[in-house]
Amino acid sequence: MQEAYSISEVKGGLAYLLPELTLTAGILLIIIAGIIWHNKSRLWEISITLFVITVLMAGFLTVYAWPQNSIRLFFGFIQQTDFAAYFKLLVLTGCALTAGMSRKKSVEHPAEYFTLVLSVALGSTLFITSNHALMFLLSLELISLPSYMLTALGRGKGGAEAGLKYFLFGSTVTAVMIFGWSLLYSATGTFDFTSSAFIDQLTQNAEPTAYLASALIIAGLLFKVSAVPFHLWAPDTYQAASAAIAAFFSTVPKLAGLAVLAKILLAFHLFGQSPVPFAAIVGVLSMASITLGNVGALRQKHAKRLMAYSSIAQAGFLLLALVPFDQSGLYALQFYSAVYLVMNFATFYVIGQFEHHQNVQTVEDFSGRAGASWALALVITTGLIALIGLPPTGGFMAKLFLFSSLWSSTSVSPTLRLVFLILGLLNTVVALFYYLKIPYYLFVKDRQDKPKSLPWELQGVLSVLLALALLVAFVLPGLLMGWINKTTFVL
Amino acid sequence: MPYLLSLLIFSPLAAVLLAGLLPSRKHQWFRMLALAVSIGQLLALIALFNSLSPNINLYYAEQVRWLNISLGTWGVLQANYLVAVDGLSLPLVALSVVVLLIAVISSWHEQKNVKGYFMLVLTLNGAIIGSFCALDMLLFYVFFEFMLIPMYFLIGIWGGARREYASVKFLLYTLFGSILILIVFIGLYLGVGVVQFGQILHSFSVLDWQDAHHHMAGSWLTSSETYGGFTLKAWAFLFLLVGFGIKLPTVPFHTWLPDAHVEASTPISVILAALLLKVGGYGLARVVLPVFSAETIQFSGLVGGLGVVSIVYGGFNALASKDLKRLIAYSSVSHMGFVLLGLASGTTEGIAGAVYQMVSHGIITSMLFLIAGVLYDRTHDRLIDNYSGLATVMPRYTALIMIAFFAGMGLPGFSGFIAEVLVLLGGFNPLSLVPVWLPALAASGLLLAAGYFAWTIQRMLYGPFVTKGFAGTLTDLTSRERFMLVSLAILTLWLGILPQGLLSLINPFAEGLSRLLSDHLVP
Repeated sequence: MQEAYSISEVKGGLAYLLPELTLTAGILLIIIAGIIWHNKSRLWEISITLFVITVLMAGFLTVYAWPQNSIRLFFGFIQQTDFAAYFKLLVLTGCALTAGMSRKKSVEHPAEYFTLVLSVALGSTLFITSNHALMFLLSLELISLPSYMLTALGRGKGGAEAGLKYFLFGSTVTAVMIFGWSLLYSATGTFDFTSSAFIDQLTQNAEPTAYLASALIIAGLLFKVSAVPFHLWAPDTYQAASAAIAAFFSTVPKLAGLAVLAKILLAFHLFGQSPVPFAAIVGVLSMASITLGNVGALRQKHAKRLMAYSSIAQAGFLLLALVPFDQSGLYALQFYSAVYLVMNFATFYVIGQFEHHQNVQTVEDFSGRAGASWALALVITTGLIALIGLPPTGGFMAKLFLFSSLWSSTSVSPTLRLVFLILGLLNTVVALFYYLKIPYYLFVKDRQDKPKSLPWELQGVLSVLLALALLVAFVLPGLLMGWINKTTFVL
Repeated sequence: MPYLLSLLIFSPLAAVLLAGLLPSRKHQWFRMLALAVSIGQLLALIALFNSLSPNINLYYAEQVRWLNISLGTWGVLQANYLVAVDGLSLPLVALSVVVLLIAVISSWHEQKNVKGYFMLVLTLNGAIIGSFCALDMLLFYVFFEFMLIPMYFLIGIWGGARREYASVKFLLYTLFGSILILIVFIGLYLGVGVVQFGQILHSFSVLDWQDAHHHMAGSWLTSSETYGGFTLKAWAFLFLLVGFGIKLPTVPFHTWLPDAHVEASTPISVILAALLLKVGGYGLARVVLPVFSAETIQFSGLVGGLGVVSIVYGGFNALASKDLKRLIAYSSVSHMGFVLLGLASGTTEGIAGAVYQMVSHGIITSMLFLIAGVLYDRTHDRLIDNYSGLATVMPRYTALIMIAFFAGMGLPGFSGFIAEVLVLLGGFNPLSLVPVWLPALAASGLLLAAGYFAWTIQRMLYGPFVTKGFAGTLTDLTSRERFMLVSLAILTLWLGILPQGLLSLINPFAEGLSRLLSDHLVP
């Protein structure tokens, strides 16, 4: 895999890197703004404006420079595909929604805050397109390091503890992954994990160390998507972080990790030639995530902690889309990812507003507060119904596509397929039990005093729009699916 | 009037949106809105019956493309907005319109959060009628699930003391059932392929599903591999039987029903018993029997047996119930057993009897729950033992109780008689798929019904009037209550004395289904 080093190739590649360059520029500008302005209120306005402009521009450029076919850049470090571009767009949407959720009062250091969020965004976009172990590790660290800081930033003692926990877990995982890559390098002689050399070497000279290495790398990615058995960091981190950051963690790094996991798994799968039954393993992990996430959520009293367990279970559903190892599974993954982003944010938006204005923390605190804002109570109900997977929401369509692709796949034995299908669907019943807890307290439980009304603000409008998007995704799923069907997955 | 069914389905849903915009303190507006929708639906229904043309199977079919999504290499997912009514669904749609009207009238004095209440009732209204009309099973499933959440809140917010427990139990049971149904529906649409324009269309239409030519070669629908002793088709049949059996409900999946009924308020109990249970029977007749005909024959003993167990077990439980609403709830379990038995018999009479029983039970059980509600409104006490000699203070009420209870017993002259006799005739028919001792046992259920209803009459109505602290509160029926009960009484008598009208509507469907089943009989 020797490629001629030429400056012209680097220059040509930059044109395809415009969104990432925009994000980098945005990060630098916000840092500079933080040096110039010291008035917090002023600095907040300037940094959020810069942030939103950067994210919107990056999003626009992603659409503008939509790759028609797969392009390898910088000697194979980066591969731009429309599959990657789709996930980049999801990541940027997640960042924009996080900005919409962030509040001046709860963010102590605006410049640092937005710099860190943008860094995660940059890391995620690079991670999604990475095609080379070095790029993979660098961009992964670009996601991880700001994430640890975001957990702790301005969140007091609890935040520092959660941040440290996250850091200890995360750095161990990184070390493990580096070890995995080094083993793979010795087995294949290349870091370019989609190259034919890599795949040929693994196919022909399969050694136990190579399997160990792939297990180590997959474990690291499972940590990123907070899937069982590497999910333990999520509940503490989410609970300690602000609602905006919890929503951010449960979507942006997770979706980026998922896109890369899809790619890595397909590479390790060796087009079905691998003796390791990856499909069955992913299926079992997915079932474990769904079940443990759901069972864990049953006993949670804290709203954000409950959502952390929910995100573990949802990670399981997203993993399930990887089991078929075919195009239709990836379509289902793309659809589910988009819907997941919207339904998760819809829920977190409402939790965030109740938390901010009425200091609602636990599920019981929601008692009888539907009167505070009927619109928001309906939004969170819609979001949670979507997370369960019931009509009339996009969550239903997402699960329908997911289970359809699973049913029609041939990657696992029919019996196993049936078991996955039935277990996955039965978990919906368990999920119903805890997801409906919040609407139950909101609507059904009475309270003595009349709750104070929530003020109407930008957050409220955005949450209603998110809920409407979920309804549209149900009535007209073809809008999104038609677009997804145009993308192709290229290894 | 080509869009009559859409009008029926969407007028309540449009009213929900309208109600959302109205100020919540104007209680009267919401009542009037719900009443207006129901009366409008009744008029639309009359128009529908007036323009029925004989000799066709599907009336008022409407089809609009909903989803047409390519899902990778194996074809195209297609779902349509496909609604129509036939001899199975039209009687149930008519029943729904009538019962929902009664439920609105019965809710007139609801005081707690009136806006939310009527918005949920209207949502439920559209979902119920939609699920009876939908022939595209994705659409059916959507309406089916759409019923759950409103019902959950209606029980959970406006119910009695243990409403929270009851509403969660209702939701978990029903959702569990609906998941089993969804598994099979996904399997069916993937296994059924209609070749059109060189593409394989995976359709959700039950009309495609029941046509064995569309069952794709090599799919699970044509495979004879067995898992745990059964083919996949047999498993699918059992899944659907459990899924719809929970809804029906049949013993042993019935335990959510007494709780939900006892805790729900009167109008909600009426909707639950009269309409939501019917969706279970409807699903069996609409999907399970036509699509899984061979399995129906294979398992007819099981299905009929479950029916008979429900009849007898429900009857004994009713006999032992101390709470009037619980008694009525168990009588529902018992009556719905006849639906299972009738369907399992596979004969024209049996199937027609099952459909007739669904309509008849809808009317009778509405009356029974309204009767329990009349007492509960006045005294907040439903224990049968606490009443005696009501005949002396509430003569009009007594007369209507008698009618309702006699109808529930299945006495001649009432609709229940026709239905149960048809089911038993179907069971005894030499072509019946069930062994002859099953209908014989079922007949004993009639005896049980006579027992628990007559005993209740004796305990509550006869004897000296004993006041247990609610002497002055026991006034006779108000004109609103009288209107509801008398109109339902007229309906059950009408269907009991002149069954021909409804039977001629049901008959083509029952004959068609029976023929479909006999085609699968191995001679």
